[in-house]
Amino acid sequence: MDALRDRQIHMARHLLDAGQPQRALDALAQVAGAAEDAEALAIRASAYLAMEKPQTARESATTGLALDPQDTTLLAILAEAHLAEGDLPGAERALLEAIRLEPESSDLIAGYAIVVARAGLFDKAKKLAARAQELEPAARAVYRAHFVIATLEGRTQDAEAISRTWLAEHPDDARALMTSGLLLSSVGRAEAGLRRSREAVALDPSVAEGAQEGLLEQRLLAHPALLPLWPFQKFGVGGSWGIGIGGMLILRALGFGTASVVWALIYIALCVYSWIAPGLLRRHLRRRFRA
Amino acid sequence: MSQTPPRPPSQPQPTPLDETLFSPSLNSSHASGHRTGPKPWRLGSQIYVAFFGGTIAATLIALLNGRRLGLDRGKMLLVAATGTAVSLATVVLVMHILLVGRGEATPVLPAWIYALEGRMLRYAHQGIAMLLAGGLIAIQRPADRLYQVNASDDQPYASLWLMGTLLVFASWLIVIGGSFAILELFFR
Repeated sequence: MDALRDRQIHMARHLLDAGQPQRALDALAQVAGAAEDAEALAIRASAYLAMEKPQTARESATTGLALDPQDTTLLAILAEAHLAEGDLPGAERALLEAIRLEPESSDLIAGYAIVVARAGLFDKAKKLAARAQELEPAARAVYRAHFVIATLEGRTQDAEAISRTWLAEHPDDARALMTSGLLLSSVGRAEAGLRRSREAVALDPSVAEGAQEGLLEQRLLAHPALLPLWPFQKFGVGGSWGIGIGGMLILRALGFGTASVVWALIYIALCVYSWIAPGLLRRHLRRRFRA
Repeated sequence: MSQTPPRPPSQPQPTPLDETLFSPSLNSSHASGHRTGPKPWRLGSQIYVAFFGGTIAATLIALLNGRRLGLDRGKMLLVAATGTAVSLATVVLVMHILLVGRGEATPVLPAWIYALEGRMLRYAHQGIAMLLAGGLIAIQRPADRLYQVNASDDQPYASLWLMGTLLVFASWLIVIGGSFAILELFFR
């Protein structure tokens, strides 16, 4: 009986790791007494998290914790569910309880650093990340915490450097590939970013979970229909306004009146296109993503 | 302000353990994806409002958006002070140019500034407004970054069409009203 249960649990975990949360839930449904099994409930909660149902995930994790209040895996999942619901204090409570039980866990401390960073408490986040680093210098969770803190603080170059070190240290880390891919896209290197994210998903499909919005934006930025908007992506709204208006004024000042008008018309057409096309394309891609 | 880069993970430096690190520090006022108030606007869109509405519109939209993003009191004051200072400086500059043109003031600025008139003066005002918007956006950016990462909505930003248009018209009214008042007071 136990051997059968272990096999079924193993299968459910494997399906979850392979990025198939619904099939993992189906496999769990075969496990006798899964509703009173903390391990099964942890897989169930993770599957719901992957399916972007944080409320159900939180309920499963809470049920599991009622059975085993000292299960740090369940506490970490509960924290993730709170985080996905936007409840930062809830995530903090769960992680502090987990850290109290496992004070030397770099994963938990790095996870807490990310929660605190998301609340904008960067000094505390950096101290926590440093503490996690002392415990386990090259842990993936430590790189991830440093990366998230740098990104949220707007230190893009630092974030890029961290993601490079992270990838050098763990070349097969799908999450490292994914984060560096998303970062590349956000700094205007859409195609390179998309390529890296695709490599990440090929390596581990589960990394796409929780990065859906980022992936969608990446697909959007790299879409051929948005090629005319490259200057907007490269220089941002402010920069492209500067180029558009500045170019117009310079041409006018140099006496090229007709060229200035043509420049202005092209610029206005691009502006109008930038208001309409990304929204429509985003809606279309979101529908395809959901399908 | 320079940021301290993260230490290379391969060279950890032991630090004394700070027990307060593991005490709760978050409450409901911290960034949350469950904001109940209205959604903020995209920062980049404020440039359009600044271009069409000038410095006053740029300041007003930054203040409204700052409130929606939950900027702290200090940053809200910074936005208000920067916007007011730039708007007042623009008014003073235009008045000075007009007074110099009438021979009632001594030119103290480079000659090309006094050559600005009509449409070019308007372009200059739009340029100043866009630069101001850039500065005000920079103040809002850290809060916007946190909002973005914590937002759980598919459409985390509100549309600026209605509010932007209203603010542009409102600031035109303020500028026209103010211009009449200044003309009455100083140039009659």
